[in-house]
Amino acid sequence: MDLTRLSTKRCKQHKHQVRDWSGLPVGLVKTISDNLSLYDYLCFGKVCKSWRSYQEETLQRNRRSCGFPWLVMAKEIEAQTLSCISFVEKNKLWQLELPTSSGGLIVGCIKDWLMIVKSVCKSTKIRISLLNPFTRSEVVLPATFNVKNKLMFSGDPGKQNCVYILYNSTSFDVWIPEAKDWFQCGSDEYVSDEYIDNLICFKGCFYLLTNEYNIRVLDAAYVYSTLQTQGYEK
Amino acid sequence: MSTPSVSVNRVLKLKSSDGEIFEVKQTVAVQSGVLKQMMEDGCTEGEIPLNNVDSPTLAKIIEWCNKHHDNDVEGRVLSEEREKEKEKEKAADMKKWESEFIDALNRDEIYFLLTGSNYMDIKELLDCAAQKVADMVKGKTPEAIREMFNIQSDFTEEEEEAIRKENQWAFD
Repeated sequence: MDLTRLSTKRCKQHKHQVRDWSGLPVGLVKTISDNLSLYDYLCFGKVCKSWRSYQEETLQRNRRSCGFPWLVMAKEIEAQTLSCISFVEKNKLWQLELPTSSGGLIVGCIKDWLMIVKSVCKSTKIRISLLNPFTRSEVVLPATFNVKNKLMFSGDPGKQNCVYILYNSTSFDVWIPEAKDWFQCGSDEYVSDEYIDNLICFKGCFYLLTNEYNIRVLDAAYVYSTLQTQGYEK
Repeated sequence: MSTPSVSVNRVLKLKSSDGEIFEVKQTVAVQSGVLKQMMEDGCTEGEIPLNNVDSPTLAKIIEWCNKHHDNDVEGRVLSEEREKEKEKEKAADMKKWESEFIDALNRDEIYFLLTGSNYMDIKELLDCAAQKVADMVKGKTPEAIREMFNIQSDFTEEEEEAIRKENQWAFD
């Protein structure tokens, strides 16, 4: 026996289970939640403020970059129910019902947001909306012509200062929340006589790849303030 | 697992927060990152106060460390295959012992074991205790988790409502 007790006192026992666990140090809350599946992890964060504070930090960090990894499938083209498989949860299948107003064609996704296209009644225009199936928030963008545009946005579509860019090789339109319509900027303002081939947004900056393989950087905050000062119809 | 400064026969005197003294072999104590560092720095003379660990918890921690102490020093010569088999058996036995050890504890004891093993930096024990808590939480609603761990919700009614709505997709 390696353990020699010098004290002759009998081993004390902890009495009844009265300990309030909300005071568990943050580091230990993290250690425990590392062992949880996604569902349990979400429940765990709803227990009390101190257990939540750690999660808010990590969840937000996740959300800012790319959210949880999911595979989303819809059985029909204009489906009302999506099946989602999460790769963080072993063999778990979630059924997400979309809000009924969302009927339209799901054409893709950016971060956690599904892009849904609907045609506008008695018009050749289409309306793109962004729907987050997890939070169920929806952002409806102004109608636009259907000319195979690509869409990109800076930051969180729920936020006021999010900048949206709709572009193809010849046009370059910008929208900010509250504005009634798209601003038609014309790409030459940003890329002179080149065309935009592709565009991504990273940490608040748009990166425009041109047909000449040049990369232009466009600060979303700068675009937002420029449009603000120019004034627009609400 | 021998560091040059650790001798087999020397013991450390650990003093729990409530003043009890425990003697532990150095070769056992190296499982604690904190004690290992102290041994390497040569500052383990006299009693080592562990102000965040009380005596019932420290007794449990030492019981764990003794069990996990690799005392298989008899120079048995076994065939490689037999050796592997033995290793497997040993690992299975250890798993069984660990789960019996942790299952016998009440929630308070687990709490103090978590904080104690964290304080003493004993990773394997910390992982085992954290896994136990994760298993206890599994499949439970936030209300049930609160009840289990004696936690009062400190959210306001509005916050509570907002939290209920959040991630609703996962709870439908």
